[in-house]
Amino acid sequence: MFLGIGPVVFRLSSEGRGVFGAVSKDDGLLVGIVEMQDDHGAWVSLQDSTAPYQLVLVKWAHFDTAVIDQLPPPEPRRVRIGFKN
Amino acid sequence: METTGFDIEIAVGRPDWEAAKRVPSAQLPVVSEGEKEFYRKLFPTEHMDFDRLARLRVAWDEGRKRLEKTAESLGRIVVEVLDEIKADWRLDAVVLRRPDFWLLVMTGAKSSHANVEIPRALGQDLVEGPRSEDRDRLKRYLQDAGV
Repeated sequence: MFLGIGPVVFRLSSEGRGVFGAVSKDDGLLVGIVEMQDDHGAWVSLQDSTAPYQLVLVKWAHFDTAVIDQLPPPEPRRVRIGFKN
Repeated sequence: METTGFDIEIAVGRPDWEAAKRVPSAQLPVVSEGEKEFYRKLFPTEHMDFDRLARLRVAWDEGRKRLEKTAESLGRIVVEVLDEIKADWRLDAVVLRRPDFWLLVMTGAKSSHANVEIPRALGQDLVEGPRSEDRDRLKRYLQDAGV
């Protein structure tokens, strides 16, 4: 499974609600940004985190479905340097 | 007139939550009615807060802009260091693809290539306040890669 990276809204499974109940605002949704993923699940920066550089592991079993913004990657930007007149 | 430069490629996320929190609700990007309908169908909840979704996108966009600025600053420092050590190499691209290591793509004489990986922490240190020891570490990474 590969989610890509980007803004994501998870609909938590019953197992996921047990794990993330305290941060899902009772709506069963978990909102954040997927920064990387591995065999265990997605590593997510949570929107409501007060520690923005900590990532949370959302295991595959923790959600029933997810919507992720899959924007096309921007074209590489060229930086011009070294102008000499 | 000499014109040179390097590419910047960003393929990692690093949200800027603080920037997202500062945007007044009225200035958040619009979530379209089509998107709202999609979410309502998929997530059977009346609690879906679309401001949250909009703020999420702001955090993503602002984080990407900040990473671009960081990559540009890092690239300029690398060009300066290459000049300092009189290396016959040029920087082609700064690639932020992994969260822990950043990549410098270089071309040397006779079209030889080198991909130099530096730890993200070193890249951040160089950009946030380049100290001579950080530049020395960068030089060692470049030299170890044959630059």
